[in-house]
Amino acid sequence: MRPVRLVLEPRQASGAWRAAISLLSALALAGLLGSLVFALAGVDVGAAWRALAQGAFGSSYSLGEILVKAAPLILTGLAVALCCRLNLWNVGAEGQFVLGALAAGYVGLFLAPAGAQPWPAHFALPLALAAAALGGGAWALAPALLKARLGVSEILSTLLLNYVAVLFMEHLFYGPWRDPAGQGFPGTAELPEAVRLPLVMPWLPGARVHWGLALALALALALWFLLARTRWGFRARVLGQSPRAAAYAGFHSARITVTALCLSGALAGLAGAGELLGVQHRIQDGLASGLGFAGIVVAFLARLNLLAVPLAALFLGALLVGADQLQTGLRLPGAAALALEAALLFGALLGEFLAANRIRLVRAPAGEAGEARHAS
Amino acid sequence: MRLKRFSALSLVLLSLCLLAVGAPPAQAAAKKVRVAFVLLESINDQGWTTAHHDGIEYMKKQLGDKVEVSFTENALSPADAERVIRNYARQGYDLVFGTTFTHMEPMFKVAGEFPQVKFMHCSGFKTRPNMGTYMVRIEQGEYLAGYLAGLMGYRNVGTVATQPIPEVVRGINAFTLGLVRGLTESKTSFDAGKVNTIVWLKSWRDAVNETTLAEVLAAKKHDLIRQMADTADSSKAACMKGVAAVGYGTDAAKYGASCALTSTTFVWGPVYAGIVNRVIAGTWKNDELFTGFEGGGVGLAPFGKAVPKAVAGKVLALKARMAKGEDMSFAGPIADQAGVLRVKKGDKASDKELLSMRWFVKGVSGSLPE
Repeated sequence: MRPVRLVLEPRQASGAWRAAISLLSALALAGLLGSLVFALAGVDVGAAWRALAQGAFGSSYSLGEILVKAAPLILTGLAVALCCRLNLWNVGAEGQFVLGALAAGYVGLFLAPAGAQPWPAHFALPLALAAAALGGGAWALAPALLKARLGVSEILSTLLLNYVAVLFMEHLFYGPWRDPAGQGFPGTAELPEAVRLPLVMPWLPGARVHWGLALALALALALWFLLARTRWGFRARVLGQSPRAAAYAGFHSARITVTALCLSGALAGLAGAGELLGVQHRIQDGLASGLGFAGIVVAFLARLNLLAVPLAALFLGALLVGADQLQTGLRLPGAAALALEAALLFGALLGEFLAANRIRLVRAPAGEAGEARHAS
Repeated sequence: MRLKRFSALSLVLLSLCLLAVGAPPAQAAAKKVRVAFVLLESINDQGWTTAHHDGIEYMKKQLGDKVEVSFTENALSPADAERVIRNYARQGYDLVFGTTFTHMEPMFKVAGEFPQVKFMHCSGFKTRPNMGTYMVRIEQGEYLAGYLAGLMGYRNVGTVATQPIPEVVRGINAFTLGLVRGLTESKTSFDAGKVNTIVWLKSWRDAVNETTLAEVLAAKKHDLIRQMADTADSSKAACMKGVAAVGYGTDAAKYGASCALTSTTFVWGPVYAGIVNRVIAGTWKNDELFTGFEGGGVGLAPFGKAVPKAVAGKVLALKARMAKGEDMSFAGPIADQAGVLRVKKGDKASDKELLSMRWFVKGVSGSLPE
């Protein structure tokens, strides 16, 4: 009997077909891995998925909470996806998120309080958002310049700056920015009303959806337009697919790289501002809790399609909100939510791999089989 | 015929009514108080959250089928905590506990939306008619642990401190005050300005740096390492270097630090059982509870082999006095690092002072990071 070999070969398929393969295998694999997690935790797999769905979609409150979660995830997802389209890896969205929140917080704490500002009160919020975009963008500037000028890996530089950002934030809210009325506890004072993102449904107590969500959706659209319909976008896409072609065409590759990374940082910074100005209203422990890193999952779940990012963000948001029910309903550990998030990322990556490659079983020719036996 | 049917119907209705009237007492007996806990990290974090989980288990054992308990781990972000707290309130829980400082704002907000639900927040300062606070007097255990170390002659302690919040600051102070008392009683000579050196981890748990800092302190000839982080790693590092250690939060010896003289522990069980019992009895108030040895809120882990009998006896005698309500952990006179008298002789530091403390007593070497 002739041995059978596994052969990987590039898949010749249309974009839509590949997208379908990728998405379906991603969901199937995530479902499989998730079920494995549930089975290992010793709970009824079906009941666990039902609990997850119940937790996510069981009430109008949980639906609202999915939107609350999705708002920052859309922005950090866009930040990661934009860079990946240029073959750049921004794993620093978490740090840029923090710097954005700090910049917005600075406006709120020191420029916006009543009487302190020389401009009308309704300028405060746009100013805080602009500051956040600038802060996040500035945090990406150093890795961008290092990458463009010296070829330093942006993966390392953006990753390491995350830790610097969090330490800097802690320094501020433990030290100079600490709330004087906080009885010695860390954390800034509550931000004034003027810089807060208004709620979408202020008449509904407990409904936390804020207008940062609309901002995120608008930015997804704008970013798609930028990449798909403008000259800059065309050049950026060429640079991402073939740096040599870009150089041959005479594009300013370095400038495009810096612009893209800073734009990515600005998006992540806005995510931080949305979380601070829309939900938390003060800088304290737990402000940076992984929403930047989760952007990586969102971007790959969306297959780097900017218009699909909001959907992927909603999906991950539903998973994270629904996972509450796994703890309360089934007494699963809190880590189950993280395991599911990981399953989703693995599924997305494997799905993408399967969409790009075909796996075939090949019977080796007789001669080759003989060689193989000989070699062993 | 018709009448017959009518009487049959009324008979059925009557018996149904009787059943209905008879039912409520049975239901009331079966009605459990629903209690929920929102936890900072996972229940096996070996420190803060493990201690709370131990407390939950104790409370469940005490109250048996009178309570129905749920908890949610990893509520690190105040935004997530708010969702979790509101979900419990929406689901009709009677009592919700927030177990870390950052749960204060979200809990305060949700408590305003659900006046019929009772809330208890650990370690904060905001209250409402339906929201109280609770904390334990960790400084009492600290004082005893310091006293024990002093009696054994340790006069150059190195402390791996976590974050500069009041709980940690007053813990360091109480340990130092007890240490000085022990050193004085054991007639050990010591440098009055520098018996306890502080280095900051700037984190609640950071196993790598916990080890590194403990090793640095040991290399600098500190004779005892005071662990304050969640994990027992700095105690374990001390043991590896042949230096004594004192654990924090939970019993460090249980997690491999066999050289630990003792550990100061948070004992939330009696606190939780007490609060839930008051809810059951209908006597719950929005108290600001602050419980020490007298209410079983703090503990000292079993002493290590290195602790002499005589020392153990003295420490336990002091502990017994504390259990009777005598609290000497912050009894004056107490001077700060600059020598300024902060607590007069005959006075005690007030609870308000303890819960917002931001200065070090004389004997502490190191400063609060700004």
